[in-house]
Amino acid sequence: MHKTLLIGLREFRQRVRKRGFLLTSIGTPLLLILFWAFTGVVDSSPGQPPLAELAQANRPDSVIGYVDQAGLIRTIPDPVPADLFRAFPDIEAAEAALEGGDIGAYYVIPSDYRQTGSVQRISPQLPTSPPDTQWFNWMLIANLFPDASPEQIARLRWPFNSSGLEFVNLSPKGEAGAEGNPMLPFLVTIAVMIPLFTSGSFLLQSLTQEKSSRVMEILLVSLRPRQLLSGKLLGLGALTLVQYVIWAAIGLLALVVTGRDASQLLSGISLSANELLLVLPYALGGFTLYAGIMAGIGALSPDIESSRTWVFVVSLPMMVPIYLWQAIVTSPNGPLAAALSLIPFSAPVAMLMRMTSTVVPLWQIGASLALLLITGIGMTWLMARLFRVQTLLSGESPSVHRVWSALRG
Amino acid sequence: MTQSTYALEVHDISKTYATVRAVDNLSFEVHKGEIFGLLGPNGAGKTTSIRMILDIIKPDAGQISVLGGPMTEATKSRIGYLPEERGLYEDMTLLGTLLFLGQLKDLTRQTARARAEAYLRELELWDARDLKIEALSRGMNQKAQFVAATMHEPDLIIVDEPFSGLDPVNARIIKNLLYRMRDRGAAIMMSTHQMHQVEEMCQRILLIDHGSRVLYGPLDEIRRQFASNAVEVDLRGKLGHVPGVERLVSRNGGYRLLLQDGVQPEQLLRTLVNMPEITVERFERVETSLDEIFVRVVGRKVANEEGTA
Repeated sequence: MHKTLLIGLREFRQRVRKRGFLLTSIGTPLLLILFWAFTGVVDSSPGQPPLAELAQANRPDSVIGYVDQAGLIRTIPDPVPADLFRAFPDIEAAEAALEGGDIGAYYVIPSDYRQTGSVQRISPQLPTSPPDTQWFNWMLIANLFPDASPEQIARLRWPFNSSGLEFVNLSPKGEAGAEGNPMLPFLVTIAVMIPLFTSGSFLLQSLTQEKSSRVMEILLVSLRPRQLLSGKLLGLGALTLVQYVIWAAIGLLALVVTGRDASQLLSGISLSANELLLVLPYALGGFTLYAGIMAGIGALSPDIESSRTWVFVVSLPMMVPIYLWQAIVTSPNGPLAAALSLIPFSAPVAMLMRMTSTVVPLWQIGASLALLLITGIGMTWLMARLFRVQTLLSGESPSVHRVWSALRG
Repeated sequence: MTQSTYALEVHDISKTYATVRAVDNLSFEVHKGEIFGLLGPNGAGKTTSIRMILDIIKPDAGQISVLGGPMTEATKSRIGYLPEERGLYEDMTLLGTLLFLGQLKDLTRQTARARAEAYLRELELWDARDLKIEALSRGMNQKAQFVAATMHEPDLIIVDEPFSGLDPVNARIIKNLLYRMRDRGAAIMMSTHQMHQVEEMCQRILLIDHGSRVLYGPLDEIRRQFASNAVEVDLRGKLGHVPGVERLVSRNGGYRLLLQDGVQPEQLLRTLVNMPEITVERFERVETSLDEIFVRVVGRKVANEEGTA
């Protein structure tokens, strides 16, 4: 136990001082807080008039023409600049002006516009997002409803602004406050996942460095391979915990500094205090599972380069819920979300994503946790089989055949 | 119960990798308080033998007794090992590395620190104690490795090419440290290709080839065994026919005399002294160097194999 502790302590001390660890531990939460603060600023100004949005729209470099075959446009309303649009009696005249370079583009409002709602915009090149459409849109509404005030036009143009549509869930969790943000489940998941990847990659780096620098042979004369593995898991597990503590501390500090209420934030991400506690076993299970796998890869790889492909392959299952997060959050109790949160390799990410979005049936949480922990322990045991001296001192690159041979002993 | 004089006893160990017999029924002993040379060409099975002794890998057959019994956790702390392919944690400081490795050998932190300081001062590395290993020169690194392997004052020290990369001054320092450890009673097993170091330092040697024992025993006996039946003499006067001499070669102002089978150098000396026309100024038996013995034994084996192939 003494030697296991020594290995763990060395691992912890060396890694905690690394620039990469400091960057992830302090930089990531700061980025998340910045994001949160930014979205908070936008969301906290629901009264901002949409007119301002229009005023902020870029004014095109050239004059824009229009051919009003429906006889709709009678006035150019405020705040549309009076010299922005120029009327043409027919398409030929507008075409000639376009060819002559007098205008940059022109709109055609067909005679049956009121029935069809279709309008054409003709320009030499197909633009991606022409700035004049905002202005033209406003002009059309103002002429369709000549008696409407600018505020009414604004409401017609933007029936609700970004914070004006509130989704109220009938479940007890659904009483989302103003802090609610659709990105938050994603962010919480990332926050849980990053430390798992960080510690896993540290473990891998540490083992491959010990192998390539030949320290491994010196270590193996002083301790058993299992002591080396358990020491490393201990040290990096502690490191992961420290990372979570730093994140929590920075989060709390941010709440204090911004004067926000933690309960508001939690209700925003639909995560109760009890469920928040579940983050710990999921993080622990995820750590056991992925650290075990990374240890196995590290034991088999002579250097960090030859381990890269394997790391990519084993990280894919954890990444699947990230790729499918929209689908999971949209239908958090659907079969896809349920399946991903039961499969141990994707469970830590998928289940947390679900829990931040809805109430997950208790049996699913229990089953998912049990499967995760059993697989994690099993994987660590299996990978410990790879921690044999012959494997650790070998200079060969990992291959399916080699993994199989090593596991069979 | 009498205490064994052996620090290491190896009996009929064998190891096979796939179809390659790396070590084949190898037996030898290393006494306490001796420097023992483990020799052999590349790929002879030296490293595999060392790893089996250190319990890094298990032999397929045979027994190994280290410091009076099978390897245990406690025994591991009484062994020092300097592997041929060396390395330390590049991102750790020199002192930090020694404290860590010393504690892994069951030294307390205080003792590890005291020992590390003493060694580093003696090897003129104390000023570099806070440097990271990656910042050390090759020679400094070699010395640091040596300290890491021996600072816990082990009873059995296994050193693989301990002088590689060292200049003559540092090689002398390390050699003196090894002598000191031997005088303290430690058994030292040294694997090296530097035959002059073996000739200077080792009392007994083991030469292995293709995993098998080729030569084993006290170095003096082995050299006598391989001594050529020749003498070199410096003399005044002209040497003509000498009874008992098969061939006479003039060399560097003297003569090399190859004796007939059964003629001993002492007999020849008597004959020469009794020859009135000459005065013997130097008479020396031609000794075969270990280097020559090595080449002769290993080369002969290679030639035999090529012949039978």
